[in-house]
Amino acid sequence: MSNKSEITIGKTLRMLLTLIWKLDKAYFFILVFASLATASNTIFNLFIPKILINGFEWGWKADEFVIAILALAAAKYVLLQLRAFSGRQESIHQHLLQEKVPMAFAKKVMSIDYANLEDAKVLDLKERAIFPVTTYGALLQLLSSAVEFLASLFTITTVASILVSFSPLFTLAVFVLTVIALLLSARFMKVMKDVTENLIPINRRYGYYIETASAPSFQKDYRIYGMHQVMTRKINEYTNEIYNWLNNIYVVQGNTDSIQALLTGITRFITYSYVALRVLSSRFGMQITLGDFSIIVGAAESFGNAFRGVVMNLITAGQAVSYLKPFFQFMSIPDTAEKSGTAKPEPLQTLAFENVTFSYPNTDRIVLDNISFEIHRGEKISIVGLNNAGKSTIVKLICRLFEPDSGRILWNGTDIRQFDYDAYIDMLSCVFQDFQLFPFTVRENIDTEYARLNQADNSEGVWKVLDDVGLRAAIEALPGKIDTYMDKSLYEDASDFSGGQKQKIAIARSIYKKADLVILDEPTAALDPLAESEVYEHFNELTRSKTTIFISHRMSSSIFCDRILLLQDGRIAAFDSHENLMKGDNLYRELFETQARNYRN
Amino acid sequence: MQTQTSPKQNIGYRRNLAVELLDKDKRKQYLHAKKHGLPDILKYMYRPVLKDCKVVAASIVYALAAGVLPLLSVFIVEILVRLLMQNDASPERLITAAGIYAAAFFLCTAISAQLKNRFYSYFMRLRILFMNRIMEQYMTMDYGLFENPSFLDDASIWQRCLYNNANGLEGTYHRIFEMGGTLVSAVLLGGLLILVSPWIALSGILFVIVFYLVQKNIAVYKHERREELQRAARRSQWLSGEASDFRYGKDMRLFKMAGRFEQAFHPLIRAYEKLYKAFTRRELQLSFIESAALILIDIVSFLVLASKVHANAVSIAEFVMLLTAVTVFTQTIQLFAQGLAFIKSETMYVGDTIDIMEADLVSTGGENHVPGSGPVSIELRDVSFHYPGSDTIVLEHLNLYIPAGEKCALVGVNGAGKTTLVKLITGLYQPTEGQVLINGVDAATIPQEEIFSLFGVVFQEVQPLALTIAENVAASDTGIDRDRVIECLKQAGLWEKVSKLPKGIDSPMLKVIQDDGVVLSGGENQKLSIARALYREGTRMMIMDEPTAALDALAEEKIYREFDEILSGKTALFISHRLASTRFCDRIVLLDGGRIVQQGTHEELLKEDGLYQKMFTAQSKYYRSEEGEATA
Repeated sequence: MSNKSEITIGKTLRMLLTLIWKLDKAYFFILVFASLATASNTIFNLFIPKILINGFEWGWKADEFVIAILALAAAKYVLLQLRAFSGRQESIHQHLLQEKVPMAFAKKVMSIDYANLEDAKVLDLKERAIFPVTTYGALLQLLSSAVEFLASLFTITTVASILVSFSPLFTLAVFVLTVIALLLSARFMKVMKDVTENLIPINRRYGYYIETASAPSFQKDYRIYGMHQVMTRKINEYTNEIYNWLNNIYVVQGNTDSIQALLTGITRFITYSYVALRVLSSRFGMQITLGDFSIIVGAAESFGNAFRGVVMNLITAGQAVSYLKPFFQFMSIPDTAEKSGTAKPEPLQTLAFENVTFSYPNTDRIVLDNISFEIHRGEKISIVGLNNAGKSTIVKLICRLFEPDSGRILWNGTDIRQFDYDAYIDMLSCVFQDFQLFPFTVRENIDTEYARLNQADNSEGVWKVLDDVGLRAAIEALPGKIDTYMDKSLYEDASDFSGGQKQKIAIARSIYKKADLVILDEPTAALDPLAESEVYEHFNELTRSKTTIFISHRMSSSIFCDRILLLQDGRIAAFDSHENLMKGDNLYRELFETQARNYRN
Repeated sequence: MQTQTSPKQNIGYRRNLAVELLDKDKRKQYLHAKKHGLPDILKYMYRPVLKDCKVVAASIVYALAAGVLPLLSVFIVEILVRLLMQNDASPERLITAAGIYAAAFFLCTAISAQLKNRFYSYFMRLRILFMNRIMEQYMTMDYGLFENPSFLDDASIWQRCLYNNANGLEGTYHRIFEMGGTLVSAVLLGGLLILVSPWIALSGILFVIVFYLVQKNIAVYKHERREELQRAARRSQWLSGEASDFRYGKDMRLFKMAGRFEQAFHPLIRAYEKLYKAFTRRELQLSFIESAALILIDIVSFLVLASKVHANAVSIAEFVMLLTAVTVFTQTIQLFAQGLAFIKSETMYVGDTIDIMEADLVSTGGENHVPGSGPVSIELRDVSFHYPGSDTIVLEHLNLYIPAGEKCALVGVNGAGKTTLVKLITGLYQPTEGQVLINGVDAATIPQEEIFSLFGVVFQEVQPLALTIAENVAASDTGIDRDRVIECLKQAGLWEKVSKLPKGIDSPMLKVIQDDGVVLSGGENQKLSIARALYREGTRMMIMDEPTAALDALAEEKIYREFDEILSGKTALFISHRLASTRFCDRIVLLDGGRIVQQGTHEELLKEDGLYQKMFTAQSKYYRSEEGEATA
């Protein structure tokens, strides 16, 4: 995988802007509006003293002063309100983006190739990607500094034009001094960059421990095994590490600020002296009034401030962007659709593995080593083997979640890669070993096309499969019946379901889907013996006409299958009926006997 | 122990917070019993700070240096304009004045910048220490509290206070540090302007009062609505988190559910938007008053100055100086008012956070101890239980006695209450009615930690923490007995795998902390968890909840064979759906409908015409029909 190759700051920024544009176009207008409102407040305040001083010098009458003051106040009031209004809009859009971006991220996760999801590196990248957004607040930080950056930029342009019209040379001097001040901060920027880079992983680890400490999954361990102590020590360890790094930043920042103060002092010295001299005489240029004196002194100060504002916000934004790099690295993983075929599959006659070899990406172990087998319509196949023998891998290959490294999988003789993915997947129905139900209603979990296709009433069919898996009574007892939500995190009136009930719903779901090939990977692991045998018997009935692949550690389940595919060391050790296999000396018989022994005397 | 039979005797029963804090109002009452005033909160916040002389001295010096700065700008304008107005104004004097000003400016700015930055991380550290204390609360509070989502919702208010350095606790520290300077400036400039006219200072004070009241009103408004907004945000975040959870990967694709997740997102984001708009509406509505109060300072002071001009009471130099003073005063007073409002608003959350930090969330109490050494006996006496906040009765007048050293198997259909029973025995929950007795002593009179220390539990779903393998086995990072770790890994059947790792038992687990971290399969994690239960020296009872569900028949058999050794000298409770696997146990207990319906040895139970026989037949019929020779 190419995940190691980092993306550049520039690309990150480009992707960020594109993403925001896609999620909320209005944001950009509000951003500009809010920045203009902020800048105009600053600039307007510069002019107030000048106007009043000029009034003084021109000898305004009392009523003229009153009118001028009231007019200025009114204008200021309007500007203040504009800022308040735009500030609120900006805050609303920022917070909405903060919610929308993680969903955009989820969309990406849902649309990339499945193989990525089993790659530990991608999982790691995912965590690094989303942490800065959800926990660290890098996005909000970036958006906030964007406004301040733009506002400072607008201020600079206006103020610079005031200064230039006063004296281009003086403007140049102020500019040069400000630039020197910033150049002297370069060391700070470097330290900041280094520390930030060092801090990102430390922050993330600290975040892991903090998140884990308050997450539900380990609470029993903390209490029973007293593991809260090791957690507390880890958290403190990283706290100290973070503290030391940050301390470095702030010491350097203090020094940098002091150097900047020196240069600001020099700038002010030049400003005050020069501007005062211009008021004094026309020796250095056209003589100016006291009103001009106040505005130019103010403008020079604003210029410096705004310039620093531009640079500092750039640094903050740059920092936030570097935090967001993993996020966009993840977002640039290509979508699945890009390699889907076009053919439409016909109902299953044969499914064949032809010299299929497979290793998981980035691993050396060959999980499937040149295996070939063929199953026919209506057959029930059981796949048997030790842990990690590659049973579930076969399922994943059939579902096109992974592609074979070599060899082909043929559906009625056609390589499955040539089929349109959606059309192909419609032919399959699975209960995965680690199946997941969705946090929606029971109905939607069983008829998974219900919400998407906005179908007509499907109650009858849903109730029928619930009946088949022995859940009708339990669901009927719920106030919301089949429209009960299955997860309380989203809908407070949801119900809790036990592991066994969930497994039955997963089975119901796989029956409901009118598929040609049914694959069941450990579908009864969470079921008690009665429920299990019930499922076995019903399955025989329900899948009578369908082709079925069955995987289970409970060897009894393989008896009702037509043939058993015995996987051993990545190869097919046998592919035969239960009766035949029990006659020979093989792993299947050993496994079966081991378990059966316990059920006999 | 003779006292245990009569629960009436006063021997310090533990409370049952999980039940006590179910009610929303009671919870509020318990968590936020004391209404903190601003002074209380500040006192709490500054208790550690005031002990540190360096920080106090730095704050004072900062206040003086930063406080003088705005005044310098006023004076330099005044001096320059006065010099300019003189007939014999010379360039040298102007330049000298500007030079002195620039030097003073540099000095004050540098001093304040140094102090502010050098003490910045001091306050950041305080915040992190607060946060760590909260984490400890989470990891030790009653388990039942942790399983109550409403309680967690209430408790999560600390996040608002401690998650960043711009607001909440740390923000308040920084702001108060800066406010010292603002206060000095405001007083000095106010004093200067009072000399001219009291009206300007008065309008300034009026502004501060109006601004503070408005902001306080907004802050209280937000504080009240925050919970609702937070809940909306949490929902949207939860959904995004779920939708991007890799565990859905396969089913999401096979059943094409991606669209449904997106569809679910729209109403959530709309609800959040609506709440957020309401949340910020008051701010906008009241901003009209704030702006009015702000321009009132301008109007008053400009009118005062203009009237002086009109009366020829001020020179132009004074006018320019005063104008500058008014501008700087307005800025300062605005900062000051904002600071006050900020402190008021943020300390409300600090107060809430202190409440969570200081709350007693562990049902402490009980002076009794578990007598004897070696395996313990467990008795459940007339135990009934329903989860706090739920009406479903899980266990009903249940009686069960497990003698010390017995290997007891617990079986039953799905939802019979097996896992709940484990939570009661291990003290994670307290029974609604009845008693749990450990070696004859009522568990409710024994300190919680002591109960926890008795059990080695292998839970149904197991995951390691991002620690090393040894640390995961030892459940600690100190005083690890390495030989024992290896011994336990061998017993659990994981040594073969671990010994092949380059770093052996010191291999870090998961990829969170180290890129080369070890990721184990589900079955291997289960073995690791068995090793951890074995490692614990004080374990007097082992409890295993489906410990072999993820293992193949051979691996399972191997563990069973070793169970005798693994469990020697311990009481054991073993939960499994695979009935055959319970045969190595001394006794089998069948739980159904919240009660014990059958108990006895495997052979005894098979002879009874009951649920056990039914379950066993169901599970074994395929094996038997095959051989045709199996006997019941």
